Amino acid sequence: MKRKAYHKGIVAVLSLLMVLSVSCIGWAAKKPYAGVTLHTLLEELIDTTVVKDLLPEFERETGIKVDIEAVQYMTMHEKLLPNLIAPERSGSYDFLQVDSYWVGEFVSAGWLLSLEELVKNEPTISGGKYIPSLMEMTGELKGLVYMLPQWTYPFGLVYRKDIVDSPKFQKAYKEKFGREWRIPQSIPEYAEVAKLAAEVAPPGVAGCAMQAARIDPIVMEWTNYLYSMGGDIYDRRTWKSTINSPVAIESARIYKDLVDNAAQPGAMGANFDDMFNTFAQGKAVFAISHNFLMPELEDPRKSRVAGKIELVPVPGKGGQLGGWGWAIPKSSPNPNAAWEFLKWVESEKIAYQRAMGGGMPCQEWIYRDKYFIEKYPFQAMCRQIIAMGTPQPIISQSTEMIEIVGENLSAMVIGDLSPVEAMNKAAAELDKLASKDPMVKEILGLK
Amino acid sequence: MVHFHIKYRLMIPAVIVLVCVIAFPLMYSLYISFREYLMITGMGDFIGLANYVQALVDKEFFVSLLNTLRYSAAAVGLEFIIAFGLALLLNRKDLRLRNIYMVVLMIPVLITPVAVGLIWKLILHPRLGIANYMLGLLNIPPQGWFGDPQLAMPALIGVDIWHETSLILLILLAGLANLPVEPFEAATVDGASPVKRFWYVTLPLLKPVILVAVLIRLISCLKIYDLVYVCTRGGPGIRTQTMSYFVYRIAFRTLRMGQAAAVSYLLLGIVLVFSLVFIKILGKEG
Repeated sequence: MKRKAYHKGIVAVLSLLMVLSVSCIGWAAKKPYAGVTLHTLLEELIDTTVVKDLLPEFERETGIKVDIEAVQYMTMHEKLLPNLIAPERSGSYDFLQVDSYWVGEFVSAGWLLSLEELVKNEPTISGGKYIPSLMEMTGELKGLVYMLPQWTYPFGLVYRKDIVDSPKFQKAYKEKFGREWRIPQSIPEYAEVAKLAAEVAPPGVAGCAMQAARIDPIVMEWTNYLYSMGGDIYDRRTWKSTINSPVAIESARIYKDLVDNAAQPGAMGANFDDMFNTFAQGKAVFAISHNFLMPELEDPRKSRVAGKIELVPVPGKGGQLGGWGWAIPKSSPNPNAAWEFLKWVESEKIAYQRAMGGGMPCQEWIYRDKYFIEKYPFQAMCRQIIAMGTPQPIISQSTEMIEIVGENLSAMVIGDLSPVEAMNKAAAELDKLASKDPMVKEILGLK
Repeated sequence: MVHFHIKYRLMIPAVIVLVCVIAFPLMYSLYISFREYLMITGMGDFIGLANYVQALVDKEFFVSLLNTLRYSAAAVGLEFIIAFGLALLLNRKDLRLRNIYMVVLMIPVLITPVAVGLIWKLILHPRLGIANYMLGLLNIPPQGWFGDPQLAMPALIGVDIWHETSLILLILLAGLANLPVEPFEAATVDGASPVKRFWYVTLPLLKPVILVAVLIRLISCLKIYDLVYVCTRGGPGIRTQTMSYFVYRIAFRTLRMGQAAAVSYLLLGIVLVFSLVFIKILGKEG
């Protein structure tokens, strides 16, 4: 009797152990990467804050932790480089946020994993749900998918309705232009309006907030003037530089004119944050700026101009279009777990939550959602602006391209070079760069 | 014999660390300075002195070098004058609250350069900074400071002076405190005025200490990078671009590692020349 009871006990314990191990296997199958911690470097943006807030949900679903290092844009490229050149699976970052004009460089160097097969085999992720121009800019290169569009930063013109609608401004406008106020239709017209605003605005308020600091800030701002006037850095078929075309030189001349006569003091050293703070503090009437600043500009806790501003397209043919994409580097220690994160963060549910949190969505259907437009009315204008935007040229050495343009623009605004000299010098340097660029040579079929 | 072997064996860990941290990076960067090395295409062919020649025919190289020399001369010169004056004052035996002055004067040099840059960027912010606010109270229009082509370099030098004067002060004060008393007593007995005592006794005796202090600061100024990165990024234009920042731009913006290595070695050469001149003078003084 005692032996029977003993045997029954052993059988019960063994059965329990079997049930438990089968459950564990099942649990592990559902969460194959549980216990992994993913590391990434993201820009300090509203979207990053929203993603951080949603991470507990991702961890509950997958068991994967995500550690986000959020930094300012200016330091990102040089922080990424040492990790990107690391051997396979030995870098510090598992997935990345890649700026649109870095794509050529990262793909040419072979630093990114192609997501083509992953996207094909994943029914929840489809290139078709993204805005086509964004997929083209921050998704595909050389016919392959390398990134999933994450965030877009088109530029628009934002202005102080309260100052523009004031009797003093309206009177001065009518005297100068001989007509009732209208939103500027071109860059030359915008320049005249901004200079007028500098004269009639309240004391301490500049005509426009500008970011003419060296390299990235000045290039990001000036290319709006260039593209809106119909110019370009390169002819994108022949890859000859067109930065010294008459239109491009005129856009540079106008830009310098505004820095000298309408911008806030210290504009030559102002970066993106300085420009934003100048406008948010109510110290400028106009600004050509990123649309994604609108939620912060309309937030009375962060801005003195909340409720007093309006966003319109950059006057003319449309400004610069930029964006970021999610990518997995070849040096990622956990590429499969990283893909799980990308699938999750770009799923419709999470993409929508990010958009409702203040992000700049890249998925087309979100712009048709009435609750999204109700919460962020300016986003209807953003969709229009995205359609008009021109992305920066993508070549292998895009960073050097931006350096060349930025250095010459900077020399121009401080008076070391005239607009003609600056653009001619930039054109010569850009042509030399393109002649040696691996991606350009591949496109043109050169060895 | 046994002691001899133990002595060298005990040195091995330190030698390994020195080789890894100093010798290997130096040798590797010398190696890549003779090669075409673009980060996106990887290590390229041997090209001899081409990277060095390219640097020496680049106008930007000479502008950066001139900026660096101007910055170093102004910063070191002014820091020395201010520090020496403060050291002479603090060395007075009859000075009350000396320790409190010392603590206050040491605070700037204890702050990291990046934090110093950020603090002064805010103080000198054209719109939000207190400097322009104070100028406004005196009816002086707001200045661009780091965003003004004429003021950017002087502003940078000013920040460096605020930050690093205390370091020279410390060295000079230590030197003054260790001067022998007898020559001063003899000079006083001979009827020398304070000015003559300073010129003919203090200065000659302090010369080796002065040379060391100036050399230390000069080497730091020739390599200046952090303040430039935080405050101006070398701008406006290339008005504040120094040699180290030029190297950073070539390496991390144009991705030309071979060329960046070559310019680094040219900068090393310049620093070595200055160091050797000072060491020779010091040797003569010794």
